[in-house]
Amino acid sequence: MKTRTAARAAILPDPPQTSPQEQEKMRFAALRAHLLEEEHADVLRESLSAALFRLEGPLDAMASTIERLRHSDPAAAATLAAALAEGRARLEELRRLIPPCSREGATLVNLNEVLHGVLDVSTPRLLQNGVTVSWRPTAVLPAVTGRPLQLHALFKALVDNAIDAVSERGWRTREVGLTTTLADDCVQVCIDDSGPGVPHDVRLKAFEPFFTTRPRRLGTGLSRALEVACEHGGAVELTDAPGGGCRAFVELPAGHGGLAS
Amino acid sequence: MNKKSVPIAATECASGHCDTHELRFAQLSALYSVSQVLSRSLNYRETLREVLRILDGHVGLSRGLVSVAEPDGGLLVQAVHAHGVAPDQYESMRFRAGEGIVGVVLEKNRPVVLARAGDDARFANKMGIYDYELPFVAVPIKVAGNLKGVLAVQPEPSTPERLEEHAHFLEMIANLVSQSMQLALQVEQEKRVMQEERDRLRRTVRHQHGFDSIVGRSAAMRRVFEQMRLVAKWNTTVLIRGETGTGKELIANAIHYNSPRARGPLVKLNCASLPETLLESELFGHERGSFTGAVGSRKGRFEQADGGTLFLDEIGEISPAFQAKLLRVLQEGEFERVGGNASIKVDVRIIAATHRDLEAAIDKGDFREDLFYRLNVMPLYLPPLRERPEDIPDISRHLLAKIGEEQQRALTIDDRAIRALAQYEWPGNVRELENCLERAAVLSEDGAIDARQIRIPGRDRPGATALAAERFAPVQIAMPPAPDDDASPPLPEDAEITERQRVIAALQQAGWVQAKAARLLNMTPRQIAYRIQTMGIEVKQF
Repeated sequence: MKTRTAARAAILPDPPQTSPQEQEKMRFAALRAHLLEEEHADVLRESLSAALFRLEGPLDAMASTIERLRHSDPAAAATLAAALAEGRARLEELRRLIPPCSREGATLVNLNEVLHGVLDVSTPRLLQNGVTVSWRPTAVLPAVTGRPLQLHALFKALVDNAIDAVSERGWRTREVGLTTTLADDCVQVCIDDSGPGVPHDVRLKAFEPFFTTRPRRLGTGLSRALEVACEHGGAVELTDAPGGGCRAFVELPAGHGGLAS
Repeated sequence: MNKKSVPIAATECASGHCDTHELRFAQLSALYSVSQVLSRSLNYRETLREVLRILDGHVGLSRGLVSVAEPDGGLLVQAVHAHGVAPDQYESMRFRAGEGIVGVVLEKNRPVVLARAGDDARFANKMGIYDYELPFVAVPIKVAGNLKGVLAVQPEPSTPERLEEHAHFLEMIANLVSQSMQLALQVEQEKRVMQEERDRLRRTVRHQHGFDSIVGRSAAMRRVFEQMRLVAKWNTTVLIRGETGTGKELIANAIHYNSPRARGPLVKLNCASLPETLLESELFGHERGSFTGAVGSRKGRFEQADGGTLFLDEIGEISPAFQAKLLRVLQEGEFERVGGNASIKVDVRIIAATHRDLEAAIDKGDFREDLFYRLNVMPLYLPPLRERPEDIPDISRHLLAKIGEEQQRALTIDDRAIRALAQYEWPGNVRELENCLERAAVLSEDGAIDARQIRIPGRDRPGATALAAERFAPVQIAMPPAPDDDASPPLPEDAEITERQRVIAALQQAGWVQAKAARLLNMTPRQIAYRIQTMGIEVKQF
């Protein structure tokens, strides 16, 4: 709770004299705006760096070829080398455009609160698509060391995916279930949907940047989610939900075990 | 079978004789069907549901329920058969100890028969499937006298004698069911324990192999980290290139445990460690009888790594013939076991590693160009330690912490020692550094390492070095060390130095990597291996 109020306080100046409900509403709107901004920056960062990385592949192949040409055809090698250097310089320019990561400090985070926040923010979409949510938190959950905004983004991406999965036109059962459990020293979160499920052969591929099954989506959600989970010493997996559909399973080490400083 | 006739006959026939006869017949056919179901090895919950369905269909015992005793005295519902109930609707529902009639059966360990379910105050109807007007019969399920669960049904209304008969029949069914239930529960329990154990182990391993398990703040290493972070997300093949001892395996671990495959297997194989013929069966598996001694069929590493990552170390050492086979797997994702015909398809991400200059190997015709381009989709270059001396202090402290953990004592190192370490070229890279620190740690009595314990090969008198290494004696080295010269320390070539010392010195300089030492001496790896054997040189394994 502390972190969320802190985030809100940082965003908003002192509110004018209004009713507590009004204040709460405004704070909430500000939080949403802030999160949206973060999300946009995240998407940009993720897609730029992934695209740059993909472009490096062919350049590396070129470098190998140049290396081999040096003996047989030095002139061609030199021309190619110049072109390669040019290409690398361009990529370097692009790399400088990547927005820097907001260095958010790590605190002790209660995942139940994070998930609750994600549901709060997603309420309009849930209502709009007629999705019912069953929220089954484990009441007493040990805290996780982590960056609250990143964790929020992680679960937001997974909940967004779940909503997408059940909101296909004509899809009947529109249910999303969130569960938190404790296993050994790990907090486990299951985000289940009653959608059509994810076929086996794309369950690993789905984490690649730009992988998407929906038009007008960039497909960076899962790849970002994976990265955040890994940074926190955890993992994400797509499996079957009990009633068909897809389960996104997240595991994060509790206490101080996780985050790499 | 005559589904409806039994209950109807029970109410219509007044004499009691043909009625009983009908019932016996129905019970017998039900028993027969139940025994058939039990002998089929279905999923155990499905089996129970099928048994309940038979009880309903053959003998008119409706609304069947099987629940299993839990360690705390409660009951866990395993199967329910009732009209309009989805197969798994009530599964995993629990009764507390003594709750409802079912709970009473569990407590008293004997059958309970009610003429009208609604008449008994203890009747809970927790699931809402029961008819209050109908009788209710529940019997215990026992294994070797121990109470394991409860079987409950609702028969049609009838005489008390008839209800007793139903109870008796139900007990028979309970006895039949108990054995298979017991077995299935045991298997399930064991499987759960194994899975938990596996998950726990994987978590532990994952903790050990995160990105933070690799130490380095130099620009070169930061670049490697960034590449690793990005490469982890794609399912493409990765080629890790770097000198021996730069930590290629560590990188492969970190990529695997930060990829979506982290919860899948990570299988490793050193391609140089096996002769060609074994390598093939090791990687692809073999069928029974495919060669002498192949007594059973066996899964290869490719199959073991399905859904995970396969790390192929020393990929540069495989023969052109084998390269062709590997290329086919990479291109088609399919292969056959040795001696097998069926194509096997697997979902495996390959991480290959080599210290060899593959481009030169291609020019010489030792390495297939097409395979190279397949592997080289995402190359990762690991800088040698001499190109990032600024990382040496951090790495040294990290390694000492690790060594200290093994030796179970605190190890410290002073700045002069660190400076000495940072001045050396480290041809054997981190592995050699680790070896050097391990030796220093052994030499230090109180766990404090200073420059006196750091013995760097080639820094002091060459001949003495080799001899000293053999005796594991500490060598005092003069501080500060000589300024860095670019050339690596020359190999002693004096006539008085024996062949043996020459080999040892070369091995030391190469960080005990035999192939590298062989190059230093202009020998083949086989020649140096032969010398190591015949001269009785003790090789340090890392």
